[in-house]
Amino acid sequence: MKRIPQMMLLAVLALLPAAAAAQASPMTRDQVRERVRDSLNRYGTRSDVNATFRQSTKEPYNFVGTMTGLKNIDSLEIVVSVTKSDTIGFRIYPHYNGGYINLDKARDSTGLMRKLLYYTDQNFLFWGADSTHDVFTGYTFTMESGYPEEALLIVLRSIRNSDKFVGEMRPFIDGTTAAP
Amino acid sequence: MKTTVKICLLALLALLPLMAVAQTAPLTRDQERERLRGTLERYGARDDVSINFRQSDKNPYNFVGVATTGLKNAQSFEVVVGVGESHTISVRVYPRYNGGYMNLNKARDQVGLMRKLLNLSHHNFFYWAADDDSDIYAIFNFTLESGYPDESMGIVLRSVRNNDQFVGELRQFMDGSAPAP
Repeated sequence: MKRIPQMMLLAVLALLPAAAAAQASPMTRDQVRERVRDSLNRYGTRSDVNATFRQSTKEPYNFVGTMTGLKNIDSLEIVVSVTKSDTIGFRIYPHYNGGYINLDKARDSTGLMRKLLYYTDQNFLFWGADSTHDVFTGYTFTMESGYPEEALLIVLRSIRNSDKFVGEMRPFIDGTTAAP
Repeated sequence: MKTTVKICLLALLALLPLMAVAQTAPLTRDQERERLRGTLERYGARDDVSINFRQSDKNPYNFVGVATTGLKNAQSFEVVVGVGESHTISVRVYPRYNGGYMNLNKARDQVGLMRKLLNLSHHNFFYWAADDDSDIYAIFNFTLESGYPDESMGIVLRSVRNNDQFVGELRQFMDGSAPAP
């Protein structure tokens, strides 16, 4: 009779690794959104992130946040999207001089574009321009290898660095120099 | 004696989950390179990747391969997979077109080309960049803080060929030609 509990205990313990592996199985889009919500709430309060995120009213799979207290730009508008294809996308739009940085409004648009393409070569976050030619920096996670909890923090902590790069872009945007 | 064996077995089984977690501890750069070597060998042999990677002579943390099959617009893709110093892996895809790299300075419509590249980064999985020589390429970056991205690497490697259609869209800016049908 003593053997039965022992066997059951053995069976349960044997199943633990399998249970751990099962946690890494693909999540639904809604499950990913809730994980992202939790991560953003938790990491957003850190002093090296310092951004409050809220779910977008227009697009329920997006979270929107703002970072302020920067030298060269008014703020950074952060959009975090959970997509249909197992990715989490970050789009960070710098607000400069009361609006977005737009390729068509830049004093030296060609110089700005060349700089943006070179930044993507050199830096962790990439740079792009959306359909209305507003400039953003971004990063994409693909989740086939699981939810990127720790890596999300790395990206969130990197966002503030964008201020330095916008400073270097200022000569192309309006001919001013970067803040000291 | 039987009890001792049972206790040992129980202890071993109880440790298994911890051992699984330990596998996700940060790897050294050399360990990451060896994981990557295995990944590239395995996925590279797949029909939908079909790239033979070799370690670079110049940079021992880079692997280089060439994709040639299934392309209509680019002659080939030179694929450079590098292990960074700070737990990153980058996959860079240089299109070879008309006997060389695609270069910003050699494009017929440089402004149009740059605008297109920046917009492709908005819409696509890979994003586009220009290096020190102004050669353009598509790139995807991994950060490894959440573990080694084996399955994700497979997805990215399988997506390399998809860049051919975007090279087709870039042709009008390079030399005025139309994408291959």
